[in-house]
Amino acid sequence: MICLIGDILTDVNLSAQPEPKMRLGGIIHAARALWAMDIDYTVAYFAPSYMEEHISNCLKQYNCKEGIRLGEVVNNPYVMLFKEAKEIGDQGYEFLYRDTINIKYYEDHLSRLSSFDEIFIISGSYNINTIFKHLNSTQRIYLDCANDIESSEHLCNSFPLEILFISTSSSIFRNEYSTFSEFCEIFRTRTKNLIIKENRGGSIWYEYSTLSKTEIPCYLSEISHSVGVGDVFDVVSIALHGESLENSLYRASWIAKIYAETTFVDDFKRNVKRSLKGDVMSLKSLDGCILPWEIRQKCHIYLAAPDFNHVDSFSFDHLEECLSYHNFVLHRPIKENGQLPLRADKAKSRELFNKDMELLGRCNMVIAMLPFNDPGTLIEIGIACERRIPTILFDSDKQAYNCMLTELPDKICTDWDELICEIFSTYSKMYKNGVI
Amino acid sequence: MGSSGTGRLTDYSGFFGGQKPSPSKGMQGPSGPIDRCALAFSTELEDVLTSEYYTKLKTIPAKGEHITIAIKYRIVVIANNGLVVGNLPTRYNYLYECINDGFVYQGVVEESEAGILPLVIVAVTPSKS
Repeated sequence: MICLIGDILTDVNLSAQPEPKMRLGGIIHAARALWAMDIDYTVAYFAPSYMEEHISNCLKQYNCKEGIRLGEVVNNPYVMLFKEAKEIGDQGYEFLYRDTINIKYYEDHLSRLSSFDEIFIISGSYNINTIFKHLNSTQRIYLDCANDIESSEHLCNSFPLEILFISTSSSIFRNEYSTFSEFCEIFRTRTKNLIIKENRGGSIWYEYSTLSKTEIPCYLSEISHSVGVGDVFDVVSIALHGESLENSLYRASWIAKIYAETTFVDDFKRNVKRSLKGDVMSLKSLDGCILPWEIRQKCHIYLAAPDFNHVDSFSFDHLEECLSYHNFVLHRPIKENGQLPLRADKAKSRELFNKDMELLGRCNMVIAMLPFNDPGTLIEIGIACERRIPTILFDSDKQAYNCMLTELPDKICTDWDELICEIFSTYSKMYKNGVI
Repeated sequence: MGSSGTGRLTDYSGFFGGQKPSPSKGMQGPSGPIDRCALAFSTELEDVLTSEYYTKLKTIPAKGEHITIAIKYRIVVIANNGLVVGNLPTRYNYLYECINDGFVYQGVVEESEAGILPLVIVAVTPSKS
């Protein structure tokens, strides 16, 4: 039986509609996935004592065989706030009292970990090497390096893991990634397989014994959150015994999509059951989104917008932050080339025009934002569409009604999640076609 | 104060004796109000210009023509003649689960506009055998 190890926290999604939503998080996300698939499991966890009754009740309802408390968290309520739950950009996690965590380890409970065949660990506020000390080389061990591990040097496992999962949003990735091959090299002696989870761009599985690299797509859909989605992906990929790892990763990608679509657990379970009725070959035939992290540096996006210094730039700044978070390159022509002064002379006008047109020519996508009818933006949309540069109009206020404006762009998006998904989807097609 | 969804945990069957919270609290409880597989919908198709119906026949199906939904390389719309007219937007990817569970989706072409940039909008209704 598999034992899930991790923290149990209280997640509070402040942006959920029509009201904030609170539920148990941490390792519980993975537990929900196994419950949905009717797979037996045990949870070994760290949590504050006041949560014990909630945790016990929750694990019972999720058919957990046993809850083993590995340690008590003191001086911390273990509450995580999310300002933005869909990972449009940086989610703005707020882990309350995070600098004052103290954990009392229960040695007698930790010693029980050696009795499990399979161990899945999501790193947390506890010392990961304390866990490793109680494991042995006969066990199949899987680890997700979440945000609490800042450096690969902090991983001191004495025998190789089966799979090491690392997300592009994790600290270890942000701190140590330079190229795919160099990143893989860091973990060569520590794991048999490395899986890099790249958000809406899919994931990459690297197998050290064969040196093979496999891209697994992400299936885009209308999501309600992204909290714990990566944990669900992990645990599904390791829990489907009888399937090859590649097939399991496709299943995992789909079930992660389902998890992101709802926070209603009974709906999640029903939809997981439905998806598992389909054969994996039909799932693999579906065209998902693949856009590796490194490739995104080739994605040069031109912002067509009245990005002048007298215009509220909140949306433009937000777009830049979100795209930077996902490793895309946004060009803001007015910021890069300068703003035309009032009553500028002909030479200056021509100079800025030439620079902007040259920049547009170097970009492979245009995002237009039109808070008001700005002639420059409208003309840039026209030029981009005529040049067959993929063009997305972001119209959150639903102000576009002119037929040239509504029919020329490749897509009109009215919310941020839709916009980010469309950028991934469009570039994924270009990547698969060898255009980028 | 105290009226938002952070008052207690509600996302599993059996919380507080299994009682569902009041219907006005839209995010609470273990299940949502609807099964999306059972919903009819209307949507514009994607990739009409590059799909096999247009590439083979250089036209699009007429308004009122019968269509069905199928799983191929995407969730696709198929015309009476068996040709793929276009793809459903990815927000309808969940139909993969519904079709695997026995739901069948049929409908009609609701809007059809040929020309430089063809437009096809379909209206789709579910049924279950």
